[in-house]
Amino acid sequence: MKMQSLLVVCGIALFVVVGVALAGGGESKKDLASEVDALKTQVAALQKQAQASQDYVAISNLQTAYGYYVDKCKWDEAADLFAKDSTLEIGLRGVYVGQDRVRAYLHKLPDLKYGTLFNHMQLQPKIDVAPDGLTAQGRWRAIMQVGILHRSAQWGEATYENDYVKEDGIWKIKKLHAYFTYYANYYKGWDQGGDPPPGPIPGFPPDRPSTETYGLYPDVYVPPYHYKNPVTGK
Amino acid sequence: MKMQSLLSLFAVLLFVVVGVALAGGEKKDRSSEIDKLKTQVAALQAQAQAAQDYIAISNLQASYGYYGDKCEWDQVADLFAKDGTLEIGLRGVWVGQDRVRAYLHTLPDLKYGVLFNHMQLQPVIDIAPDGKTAKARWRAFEQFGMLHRAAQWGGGVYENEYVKEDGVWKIQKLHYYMTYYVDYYKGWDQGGNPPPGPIKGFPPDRPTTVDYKLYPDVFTPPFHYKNPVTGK
Repeated sequence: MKMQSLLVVCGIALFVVVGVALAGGGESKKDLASEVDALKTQVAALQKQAQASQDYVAISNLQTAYGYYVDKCKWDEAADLFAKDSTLEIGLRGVYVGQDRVRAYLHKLPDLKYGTLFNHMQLQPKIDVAPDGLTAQGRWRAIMQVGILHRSAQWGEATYENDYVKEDGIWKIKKLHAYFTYYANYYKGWDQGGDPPPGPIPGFPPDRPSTETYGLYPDVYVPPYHYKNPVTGK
Repeated sequence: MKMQSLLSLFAVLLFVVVGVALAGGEKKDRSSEIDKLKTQVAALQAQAQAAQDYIAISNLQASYGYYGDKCEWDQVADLFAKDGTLEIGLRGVWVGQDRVRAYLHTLPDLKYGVLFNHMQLQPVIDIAPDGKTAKARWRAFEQFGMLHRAAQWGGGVYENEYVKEDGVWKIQKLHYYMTYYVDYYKGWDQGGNPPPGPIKGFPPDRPTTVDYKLYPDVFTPPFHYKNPVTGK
């Protein structure tokens, strides 16, 4: 009898212990699950943020790669940076549509040979990646030093407003639009009014006319900004 | 018989208790893994934010340059914090966004014959560990033109400060140290041109913070950073 009642007490005690353990376990399981959910949300936000930084870097590298190829007249390499359905508009020469036409246009430019200087420094990026991470826009500028031995030496400057697209994880140039600010003969400087921009290419008309017309220095023109003021949003 | 069944019940319960205890240990492992993840996520948040801050500040200063080129003085002033300061060359310090705006409006307007290029180049951007302030060294490469009157090259170094207010980076201090100005036709070996002088009837709020001379004199604008390799 004594033994029996002892066993009953033990049994009840155990039951209580198990109940408490089970109740506690359930509660902490719930805590763990909500903590895991919070972590998942944070990690998703981090993935987006980290990707946006990587996208900025990739686009910056893409545009500087363009500049280094152009300097050395590597026209196929430059054309390969463009998306299949991209466009190119340089100065007032009209718009060339599609990668094949971009390539054909670029091959109209000089070849790299003795006496050719074709520097196009790609500077001062303002890059904005779209929230979906699939497109981006960038404002850049180029300062140019163009030389042909014993024939010409020029300074030039341009603003780019470019679009980019990410296809299969790779950023490509979707739209390249260079607005010339000035061209100046090295020996004349820019206060004399500057040189005219490169004219149409004989026998190779663009697919579309220039999207905007403007004059180079001494005229003044503000290429439209793809962005609002980063502080006021206006 | 009764005794026996009670004993077997006891054994079963014991088994369950041990099981639950073991499961609790697993739970403990899990929660320490979650703690570790939390720490890693917090570190990653700081890292990802720092990269985004670098980009925002780089874009901010590039925007300053593009607006300045085109004499969009209100857009430029809007990039400054309310208590921002501006010091360009040896003209003294303008204090507060309103005074910065007033100073900027004394500069040229964009019109036929004006070239006012200020390329913003070569950033070294350092964000404070708390992510609320930053400092940067930049340089400007300038081309000035006034049709039939002047063509100049200019170069200089910025030591700027930035502040993040309500999640937006703004210019807290802009300080431009001029290295040289030269007439396009003379080049820099002739000694260069003097810097822009004081503005008549518009004195600065504070005198120049650092006195120096332009080329052919030499001056090293103080660095906000230590050598990134040696830390010295």
